[in-house]
Amino acid sequence: MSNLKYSYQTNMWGLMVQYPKLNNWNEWYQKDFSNAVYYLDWDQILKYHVGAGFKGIELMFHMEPYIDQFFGHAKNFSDFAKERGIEEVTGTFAIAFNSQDKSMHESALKSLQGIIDFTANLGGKRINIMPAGGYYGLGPLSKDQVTAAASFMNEFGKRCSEKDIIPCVHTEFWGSINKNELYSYIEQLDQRYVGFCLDTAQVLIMGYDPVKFYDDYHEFVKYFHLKDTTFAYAPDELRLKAGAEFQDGGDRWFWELGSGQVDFVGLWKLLKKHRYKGWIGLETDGTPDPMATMLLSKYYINHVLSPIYE
Amino acid sequence: MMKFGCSLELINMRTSGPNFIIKQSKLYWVEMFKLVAAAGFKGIELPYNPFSSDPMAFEIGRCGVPISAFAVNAKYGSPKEFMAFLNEVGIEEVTGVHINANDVMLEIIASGQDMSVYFNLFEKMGMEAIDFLCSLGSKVLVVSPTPEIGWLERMVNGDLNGEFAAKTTELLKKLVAAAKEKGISTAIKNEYWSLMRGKAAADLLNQVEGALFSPDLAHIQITGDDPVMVINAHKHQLANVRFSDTDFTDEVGNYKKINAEIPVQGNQKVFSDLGEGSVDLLGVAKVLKDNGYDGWIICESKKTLNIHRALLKMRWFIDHEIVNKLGGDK
Repeated sequence: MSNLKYSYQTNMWGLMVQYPKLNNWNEWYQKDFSNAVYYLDWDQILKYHVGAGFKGIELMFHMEPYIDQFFGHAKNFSDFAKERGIEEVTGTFAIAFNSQDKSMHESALKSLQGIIDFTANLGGKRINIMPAGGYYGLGPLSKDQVTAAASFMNEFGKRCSEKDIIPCVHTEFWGSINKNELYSYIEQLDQRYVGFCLDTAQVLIMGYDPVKFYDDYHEFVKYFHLKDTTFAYAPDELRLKAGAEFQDGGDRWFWELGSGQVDFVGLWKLLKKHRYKGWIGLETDGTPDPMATMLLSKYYINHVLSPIYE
Repeated sequence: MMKFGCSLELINMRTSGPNFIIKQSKLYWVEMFKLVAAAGFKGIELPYNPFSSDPMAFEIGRCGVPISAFAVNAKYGSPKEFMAFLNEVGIEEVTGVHINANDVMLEIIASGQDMSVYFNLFEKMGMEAIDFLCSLGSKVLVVSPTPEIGWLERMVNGDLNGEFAAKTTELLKKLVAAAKEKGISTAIKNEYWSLMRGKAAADLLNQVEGALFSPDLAHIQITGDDPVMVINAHKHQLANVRFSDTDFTDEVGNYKKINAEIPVQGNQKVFSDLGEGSVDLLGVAKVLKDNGYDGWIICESKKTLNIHRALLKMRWFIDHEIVNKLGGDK
């Protein structure tokens, strides 16, 4: 039996998937006659994941209200997904806004309670979470602000643990916990309650080798967002400006596995060395063709990485 | 002489599809403005949403969409530079900005506040939009006056048609006055899911002195009214007439539900590309021409599955099915 099970973040399909299920395909296809109709509902999108061999999915925080509104309850969504072959909603994604400001902790924790409940209701076990807001307009954070952000995450982790969930810190190359703050921030985390989601491209763009990071922190890394990039070690002026995640010129930050500079072969050797077991997530936000990217990534896993460790 | 502009709400950010991500880059919008101009639309109407607690609004507000003063400053330098850019690519005017009370509701829900802050937030959004209009040299504030009935029934205690409606009227009066002081007109837009639908919209217009009417033709038809009759009834108080189209029949009372524009039961496609639905657009255009309407007609193919094609189809439709059939006089 395989040690690794693959999940995929659903954010590559759109900011939201509008419909649970289309009732009449032709209502959309007639007059349009394009492939747009294939991407409008969860019913089809979930089947693509399962068909490609990804039995787990993740949801973004901005999908939460719509899941609740369209399915009535998060559990109904999980049931809907399971009927189509998804084994688990492996996690959600959130942002710890205002974590750097102690005076805002109470209200910030209150706002994040929703994602804890949502994740628990989905049956998820982890919340991948950006440790503070974006760098633009907020950074650079002072030492005290970094400490406050870590303290916030520890408290959030305790609250998550009550529902058997672990928050996994997910750093972004454009976040205010950035290259200069990362290690100091990690040192102040209580690893009993907080883990790390190693986003291979985000870490490499920020300025660190994700393979070495995993070797150094393999106990702390509880989850992955595997994705590739061609912007390793990006300069500050690209990473820290307004809206940096969306390049003004339309260039892609993120690519399917094996198309960029991340050393996935090296990472897989370490997964084997450290005997990583369980869910491993992919996230390829930014692709112009989610279906192609999902299949190319799975091909790379099957043919290049699985022979090393699976 | 009628002028045909284009609503940027043509571009649906709240959906999924191949290459949706490009819509979040400035490049997409820079190119889109060029394509809008290339399709012959010299005026554009912008949606305006200053909020960021609602996660969808947060996502949209941090990329290249000129959705707020903050977004324009962050991505285009300043309103002045934004207008200079628009003029350079061939767009002469921002015909107006559209604020939607439903965005206030989504902000309240997302931020965990209660409805006690609703009217303050709505007013704040309106005042900010008026300042934004001034900064762009634009002249019309288009207002969707209430959130969806579905949200109101869930969130508001008491009689919606009593205190809530009265406060809405008072707020609109305030916005009309504040806008007027700065040389801006306020036009109330109708939606089939609004508390102010059908006759209620007409009553509201009577109560808010100085307010104009920005009729959305598809919404009028879905409500069950005849767009030609409604436009005729309000022919002397029109601004930014929205040419939109539909074939949708609300068979399951979707107008009372949350996310009314995304039906789960029955028919699901609410809007048609302009000219492909059953709204009598030529009939409305005749009323406008006969009454000497000289304001903007804002064209929209809401939720189109192919934005670029929709732009060209709208231009063809306006030229061949409206202007030519009216005798060639734009």
